[in-house]
Amino acid sequence: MKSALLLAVILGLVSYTVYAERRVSALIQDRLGPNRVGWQGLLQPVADAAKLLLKENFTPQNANYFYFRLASKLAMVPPILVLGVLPFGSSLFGVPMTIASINVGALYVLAISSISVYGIVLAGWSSNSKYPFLGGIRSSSQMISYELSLALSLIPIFMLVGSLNLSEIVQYQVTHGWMIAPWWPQGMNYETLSHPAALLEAFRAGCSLQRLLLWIPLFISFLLFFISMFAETNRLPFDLPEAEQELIGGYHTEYSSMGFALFFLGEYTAMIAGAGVITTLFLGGWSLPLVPDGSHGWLWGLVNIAVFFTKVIMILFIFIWVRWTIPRFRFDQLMKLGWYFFFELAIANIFLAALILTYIK
Amino acid sequence: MMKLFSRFLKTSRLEGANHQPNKNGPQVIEKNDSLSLPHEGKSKNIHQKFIVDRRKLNWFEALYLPAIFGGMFITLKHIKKSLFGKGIITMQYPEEKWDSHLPEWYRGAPTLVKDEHGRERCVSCQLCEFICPPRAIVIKPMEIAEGDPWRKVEKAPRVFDIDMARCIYCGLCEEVCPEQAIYLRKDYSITGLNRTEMIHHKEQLYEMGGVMTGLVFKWNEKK
Repeated sequence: MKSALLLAVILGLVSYTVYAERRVSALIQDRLGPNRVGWQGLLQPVADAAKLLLKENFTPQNANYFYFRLASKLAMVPPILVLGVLPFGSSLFGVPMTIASINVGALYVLAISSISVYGIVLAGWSSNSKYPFLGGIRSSSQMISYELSLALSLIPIFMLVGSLNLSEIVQYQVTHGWMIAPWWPQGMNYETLSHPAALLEAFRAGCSLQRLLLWIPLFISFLLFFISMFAETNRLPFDLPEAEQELIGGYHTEYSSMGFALFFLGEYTAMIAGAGVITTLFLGGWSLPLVPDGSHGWLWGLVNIAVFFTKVIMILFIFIWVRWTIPRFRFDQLMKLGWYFFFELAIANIFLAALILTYIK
Repeated sequence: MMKLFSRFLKTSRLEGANHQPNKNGPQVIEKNDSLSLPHEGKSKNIHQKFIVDRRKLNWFEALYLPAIFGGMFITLKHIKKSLFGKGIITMQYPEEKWDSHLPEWYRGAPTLVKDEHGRERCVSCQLCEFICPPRAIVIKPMEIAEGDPWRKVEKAPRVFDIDMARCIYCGLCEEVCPEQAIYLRKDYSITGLNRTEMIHHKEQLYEMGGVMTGLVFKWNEKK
């Protein structure tokens, strides 16, 4: 029941992310996006879905039929699986707002996002055509290289929190401050709202040198994770696999109708899943500083869900914003960045975080 | 031909990219090989060596992130201008048209004109049919009817069809016409329900063109 509701919400969010991308990129480029279908173009995703459903769904000649069909599903399903582990809110009527609060949540997320490489590689290879092949090869090497820094950059967080369970990481951030700004004091939550003096005291105690020192590895870790998430979801500046100027369509050139729809929506679902993971791990998940969690009433539970989705939408906006700002990396620059710069920085960051944690504790 | 083309590439690169000049000035190298075309004089065979200046980045620039944030700030300004100012330059078509302030050189649909004496200017010389790139114009000439004063000096078109589905609005027919007979007007949305409807015939063309004043009158009674 929860999963059905979540699936409906996510699919709606995906379609409207496509719409939002078209409108926001139009605003950046001094033009209007689609604004004719329905008021301000809000029914555009419906029109897109209708068009994609009514197109002819063909398989190219000499293409490997089984893998060709499988690849598009493999691109769409892993991001949805990732979304099953994220905590959307604290709890609503006593029901925790996660589909599966597993104890290896973060590891599960990283493992499942590795499966989405298969979708692209299979699409590229089974299309039996040169542009998808090149796009698939490039994309697989890119995604594998950035998975390293993706995982390694998260280790400081796990060292700090001591658990891989995503709900527990969010809970830690509620009490100890968001990972991106860990100068939260321990006493600053809803119960102390009625005592302003204690609040101020707790705030002053929180901004100590120790907390500020902790900020350095966590901020580096945030930057590394954020940029690696761009590479994982094949978004600009790392979007060589689907670079229209170079590869026509990249790995999804030979697909039409439902296959293309699955790839296209799968990319946006991966974006949403990535944004969800970033908010959960770094931006405090469903929590705002002085807002209590769902145990104080169902209204606060709803507020928490709304806060989570607002943060995800803000990060999606940053994804779209960066896409239309910077040019894409050349492939050798991309690989150099992933293997030399990010990998070494992530490992150095782990050592730095370990040093600081021994000093603090 | 390739030599000319590569020389064109080199010179155009020079003109645009001269903001970082070489310290010794551009070095001029005389080129005197046997592959150049015979009609190129010596003065045209000069290639300049151009050294691109690649400075090393300082540590702030090498981070790349400050430059990215600078760029993102610029795009944010565009978003703000598009939302709250006059940033958007798109015309919403059926509600806003620019028919009232089309530029005077705008090339719309081609039409035929009559002069102020009511004479149809076209003499079916078929030059426009010859020059039309997609071959949209079809002309069949005829003798002018008996009793008409122009019968002994000019012809007239029996059939003059412009297929608007083929017309590319290039204006070459207007440019080549020796009789000042065909002009491109400001009409840009030509529609039809099938391809036959899209062909404009002679009567329609004269009606769309109307009367044009200030034209040259070639013939008088003596001629």
